[in-house]
Amino acid sequence: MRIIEITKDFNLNGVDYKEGERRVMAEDIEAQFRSLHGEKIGMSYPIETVYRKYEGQDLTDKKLMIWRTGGIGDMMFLSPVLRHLKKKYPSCFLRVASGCKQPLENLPEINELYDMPFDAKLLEDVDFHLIFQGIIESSNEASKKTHAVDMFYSYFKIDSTHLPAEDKKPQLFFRKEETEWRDNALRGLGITEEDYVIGIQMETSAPLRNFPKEKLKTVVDILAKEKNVKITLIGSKQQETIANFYKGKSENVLLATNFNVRQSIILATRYDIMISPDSFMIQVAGALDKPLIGLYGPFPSEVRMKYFKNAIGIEPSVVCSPCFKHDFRACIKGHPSPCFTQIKPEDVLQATDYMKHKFTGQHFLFMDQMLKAPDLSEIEKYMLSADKGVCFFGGYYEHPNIVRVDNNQFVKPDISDLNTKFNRESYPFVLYMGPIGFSPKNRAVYDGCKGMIRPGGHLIIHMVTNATEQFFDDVKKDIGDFKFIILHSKYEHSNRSFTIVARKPY
Amino acid sequence: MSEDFERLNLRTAQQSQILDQYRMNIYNMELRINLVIKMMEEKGVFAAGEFDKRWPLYLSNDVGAIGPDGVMEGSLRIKFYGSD
Repeated sequence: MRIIEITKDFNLNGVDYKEGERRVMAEDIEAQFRSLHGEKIGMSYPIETVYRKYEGQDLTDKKLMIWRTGGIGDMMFLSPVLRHLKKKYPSCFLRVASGCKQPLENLPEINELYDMPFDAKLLEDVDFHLIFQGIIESSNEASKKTHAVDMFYSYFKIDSTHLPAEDKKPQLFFRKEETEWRDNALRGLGITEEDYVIGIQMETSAPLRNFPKEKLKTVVDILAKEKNVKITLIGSKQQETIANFYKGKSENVLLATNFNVRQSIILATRYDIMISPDSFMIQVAGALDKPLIGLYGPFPSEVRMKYFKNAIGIEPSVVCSPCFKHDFRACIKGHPSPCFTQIKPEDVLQATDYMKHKFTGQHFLFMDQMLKAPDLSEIEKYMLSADKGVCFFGGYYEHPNIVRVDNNQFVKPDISDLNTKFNRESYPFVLYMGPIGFSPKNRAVYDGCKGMIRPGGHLIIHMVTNATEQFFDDVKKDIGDFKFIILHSKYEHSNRSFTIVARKPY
Repeated sequence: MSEDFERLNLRTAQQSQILDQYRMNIYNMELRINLVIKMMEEKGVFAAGEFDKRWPLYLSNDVGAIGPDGVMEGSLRIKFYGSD
């Protein structure tokens, strides 16, 4: 962090910089300023020359100035700490400066809020300073186990171990005119009171943390078919192209790419549920106690979502995750980050439905259909023509007898292709691995067995011939161990074949 | 739809495969270099024979987790926070 002297007037990003001013900014911002307006900038010197670091001193009747360059989500982590400080020292004066101050606007505990780079004069009339740059980026051992808010607390030398979760949750405050603006904006978007509004943040600032586009597309497509559901795609103007791709031709998908950060936060108060990768909308939805689905890869959800009221964190359990990488680049192992291969669209859909059901008592239509008990005659028919109409979601199941069907609509939009690809002689039955986790303990048991799990989460195992009764019992037991409800099981002594139909309880 | 695909700079399956292969090769090379550095740090010298012994183990602990189809071995964790 450095203080730079302005030697000639200039305007950058709509901000006027006057001759004789001294501004405080991070080293990388100084480099940008020098490359754009080098001739108008004089000397610069390190902040340490004037820095009076806050190290947990009594703040009664004292003034504290805190600043940080960026990270919208990171600013959210600050709000519980400021709340705590103000509660402990009601007479203290808190001055905050940030490059992303939008989430902190209207917070009652903040006396003054400034943009970065701020005038160095602001440092003079305060008793203490604190730069909270690089706390969660430090990637030390503590940051891998500790929630970001606790990291911030400890940076302010406050022991947060015994504080209740409520004291660690960010808060947001809105002015009356902001809520009025929101109502108008919602009308403009075509959102009515009856709509169930799903907010989806499309991307994070780091490709590493982005949920794969084709999977998100599947989620959006399926949710967009629901009645009275509106999906709002949250992102910046630059993300309009990808937003249009997600939207396709659906009228239920709305683009919220024309709003600034503050406006996106205000709009979030209307959302019924939020789906987001590891980014600021998670913190916004958490602060508003909205039902929330967080899609995590490089970080564990716990260090970002632990203190929220209604949140589900979906994360992979793979050898390299969590890797705690903060890079603004793609994963070294490929893009999108391969850890996300463990999170399937149906996991996101099921979690979304879980939250909807919890708060409204109603399932989505897709889940209603999935939860219906199977019509056994229908299943028999389906099994005999399994080469037709296979699968709606892609799935993975490792077994030599199992045909793995990846019906990713993004890659293969035409399901009829499958008819030619899978003929009945080669693959009498296709196992469909749906939104249920089924992984047989003893895979050898299934040799010679052709199985199928059809959309809706029904597991169907059908042994064509040469199955012993013992084997039939083994398979049944194995399925039972995975808490499947067996709906139908039949062993044919004549040709030693069997059929089992089971369903995972929801 | 085709316009969307172009705008997104999507590649054909073949191009993606080649790119993925490059990526894997680069990653593999980086892993090899990492192991060499690690061994040199430990012993001060680099012994090719020992590298060959340790490489498969090193590999299985890391890059081996990604199948040829790009799917990473592992499972899913779903965590509930809050009132539940």
